Amino acid sequence: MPLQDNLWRYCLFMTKNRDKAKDLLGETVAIAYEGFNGINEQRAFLSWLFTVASRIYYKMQAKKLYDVAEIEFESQISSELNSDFLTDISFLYENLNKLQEEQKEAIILFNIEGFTRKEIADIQKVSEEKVKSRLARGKQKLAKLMGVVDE
Amino acid sequence: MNKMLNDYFEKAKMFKDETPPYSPDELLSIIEFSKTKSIKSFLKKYKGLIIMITLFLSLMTILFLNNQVNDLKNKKIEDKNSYSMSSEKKN
Repeated sequence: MPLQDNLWRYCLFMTKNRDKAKDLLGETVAIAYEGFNGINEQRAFLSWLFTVASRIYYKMQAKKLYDVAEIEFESQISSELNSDFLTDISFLYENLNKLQEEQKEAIILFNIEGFTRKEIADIQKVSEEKVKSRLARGKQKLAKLMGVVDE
Repeated sequence: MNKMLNDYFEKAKMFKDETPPYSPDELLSIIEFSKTKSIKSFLKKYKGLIIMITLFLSLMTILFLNNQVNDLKNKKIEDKNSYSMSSEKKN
């Protein structure tokens, strides 16, 4: 499954915990299979896959199923990237998790997964304007948290 | 956009977990499980309709068998009558 890397990164960033991310990915694949035949275009499939993952995530979040202790990002993954690189990603991950869920998701989808604002609006079931404001406010807050505010 | 923040995002884009959570076989088994689950959910969803159809078919079968039995009974009576009439004629 070539999309697994993208989806796995999303699940890992959203749930803060490898085991929970694995549950989210598994459930998304299972549900995605049922509607697989109705989608022809790959881009539409990608967007729809993240929509499924997002809905499951918020549903589980409402049931407090993801309310678990946050585990340090670096301890959960194995990567060939050098440790400085991983430390930077880990720093970003920790600060992303201090944002509101919707802002965090919008930033992950737009800046990391490369979705358009329109696609994010469809995934989050809000208007494009709302996505724009979530991105702007989220990034502003994130920059402050990470101490990288432009002078 | 904030350049430093953008650098962090670029690094996150390059991040790839070398030990993916599921192997292709495991993904297939999830899909297989999903198939079973969807059959179960279909049965659960249309439980009422399935019961109605089963009851209707059972009722139709009973009526059909009942008809057959009645036909046989009538035929038997007719046979009996025709036999007695013919024996009366003979006498």
